[in-house]
Amino acid sequence: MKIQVVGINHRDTPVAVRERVAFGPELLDKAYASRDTMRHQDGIVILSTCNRTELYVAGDVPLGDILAWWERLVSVPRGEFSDALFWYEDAQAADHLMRVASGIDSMVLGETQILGQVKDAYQLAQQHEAVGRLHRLFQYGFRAGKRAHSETDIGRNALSLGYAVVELSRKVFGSVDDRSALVIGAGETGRLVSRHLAAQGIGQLAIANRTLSRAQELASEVGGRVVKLHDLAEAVRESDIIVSCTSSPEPIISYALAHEALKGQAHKFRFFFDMAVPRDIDPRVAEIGQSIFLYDIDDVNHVVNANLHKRQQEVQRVERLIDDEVAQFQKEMGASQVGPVIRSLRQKAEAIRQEELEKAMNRLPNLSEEERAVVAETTRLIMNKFLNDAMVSMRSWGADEQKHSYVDAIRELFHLAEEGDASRTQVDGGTA
Amino acid sequence: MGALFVALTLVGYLGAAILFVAQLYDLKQAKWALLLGWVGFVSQSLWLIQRGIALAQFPAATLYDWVAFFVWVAVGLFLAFGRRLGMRPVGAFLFPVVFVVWLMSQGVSGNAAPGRHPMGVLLVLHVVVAALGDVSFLLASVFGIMYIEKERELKNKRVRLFYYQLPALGDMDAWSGRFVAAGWGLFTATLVTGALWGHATGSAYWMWNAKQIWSFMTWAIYGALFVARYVGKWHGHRLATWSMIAFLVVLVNVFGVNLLFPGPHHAIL
Repeated sequence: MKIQVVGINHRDTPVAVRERVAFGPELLDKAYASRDTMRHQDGIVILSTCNRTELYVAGDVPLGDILAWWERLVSVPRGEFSDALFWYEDAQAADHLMRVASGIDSMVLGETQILGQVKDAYQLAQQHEAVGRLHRLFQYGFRAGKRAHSETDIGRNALSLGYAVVELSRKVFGSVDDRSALVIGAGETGRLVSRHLAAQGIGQLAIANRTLSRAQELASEVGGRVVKLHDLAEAVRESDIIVSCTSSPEPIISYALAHEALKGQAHKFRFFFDMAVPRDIDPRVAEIGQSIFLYDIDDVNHVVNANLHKRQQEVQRVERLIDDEVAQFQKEMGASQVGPVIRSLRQKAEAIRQEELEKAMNRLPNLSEEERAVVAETTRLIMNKFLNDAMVSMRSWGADEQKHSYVDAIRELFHLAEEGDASRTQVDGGTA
Repeated sequence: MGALFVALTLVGYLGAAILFVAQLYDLKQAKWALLLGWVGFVSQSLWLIQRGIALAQFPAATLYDWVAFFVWVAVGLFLAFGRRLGMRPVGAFLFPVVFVVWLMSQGVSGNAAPGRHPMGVLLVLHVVVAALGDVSFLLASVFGIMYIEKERELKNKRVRLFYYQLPALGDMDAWSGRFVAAGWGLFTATLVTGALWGHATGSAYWMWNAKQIWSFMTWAIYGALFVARYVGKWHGHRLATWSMIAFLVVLVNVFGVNLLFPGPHHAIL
């Protein structure tokens, strides 16, 4: 049984193409409803997000059939997207799913959202009873994703300016739950930082802006209060984290203002973030006390870059973990292919033994019960001894990918039926 | 058997020191570091029991024994509470220090100086609170070192190892302060039990010998630090720096004063 994945992603395909071949909610329902039109498929899961559309298919389905099915559903000729397609089979397909689930295939390296999206895709397929033979593959994918995030730092450390402000604050204060923050400027950066602070559970949030109505709007969105610009000194005094991101050509927090505001409090931890260009905060503010930190936008960017570098260093560790999971998956798949063949072979041999034993007993009506038992036991022993070496060898093939073709050879050699079809094996055995 | 326990203690603590530093770079080393820490701790526990049986008393009467006991308490507290308190990075700073301190104690003679009194209950109490107090001072200084290192990275805006691996500055500052406070209380109890024991053995409560002067100085420094922290609002850099300097005074008290000056604490090399 083959597993394959065919799809497009953000690496090789521009959004103009991705959006045309993506599956929205309605199209997904339609696709799962019409899955039987794809012949020989034995399970299908469609993962479609802004950055990728991927079709995971189990069964011996020719690639052309999958593409024809896809093209029919999205009404886009395959020639328009086939250049950017990737296509992996079996172990490579498993490797791909695990890379996606762990976030190392994502545009934002190591992001965790994709793992949730993979789960959602799987659950939707499950609702449509379409998962079929892909069940184990996805369990392995989820496990690899979870392990990547719990055993490595691939998803840790901020990659956006807004989140980096929260992360840096945490490096100083620990938790931000009982801290107060002041955001000066309700423009794009101000909004972004405020949302991050609110989402990360900042204790108190104050917004200051030249236009009060905009401050009010942002404050009500993030659950903060509004501070007037002429009360800035007091607001600075009351805040642990001060983020300034205005477009003012003049400094908003001068040395004199900060010095006055922090009088008698220079020993307390305070983190100033100057996210504005030109700068809003006089650089000398950092000199007011040893526990005062001041980062401008370049400094925060530097931290983001260091974080990205750190995540890139983690990629190798995630890849090692994925190799490990892929090997286990292959082993399981190998074992799951060998198991039915072993059972079929045994069933067939047993059926032959029973049939021939019955014939022999009919020809020897004078045997005592004891003698009959001895003959039956002897035939059983002959069969077991003969099959034993073959069984042991076959079990060892499970882990060896190179020997998977042997399994098919055994099936062909002994005319064995497909997995689970014991009755057919027996019938075949009877006529052999 | 005793030599085997000492060798295993050496291997355990040295290995833990190396691997706890390594786990700052690679988290996977953490469990091996912890395992070696336990190897050292269990070996040292067995050694202490054996030593106690051989001496037929609480094994902390000589400097040789007391430092081993001090190291045992420090490691034991770390193993018991370190992980629960999220102090795993502390291991990278603690184990190298305790390993060196323990190694230094191996150079001191295990024989008591002549004229030593046998251990009574009061003396046992004295050495136990002394060990607990000094371990608190050690931990305060460890958090101090960690604080300084992380603060340096944050101030220089060059985020590297400590930025990622060490706890928040505020948390380290709080721990350092707590250990100064706890250590000072325990050290006060050490001075009181010491004075009571001195009186019980027939001498005065306080004799102003070198050991007592140095101990009084240590007590005064930590007392000042305690007051500065909780009354004078000393935080961060200053507290961290002073908790490190003050621990040097403790080290001189243990290794310098006890070896150089005669008296009830006198140790021989």
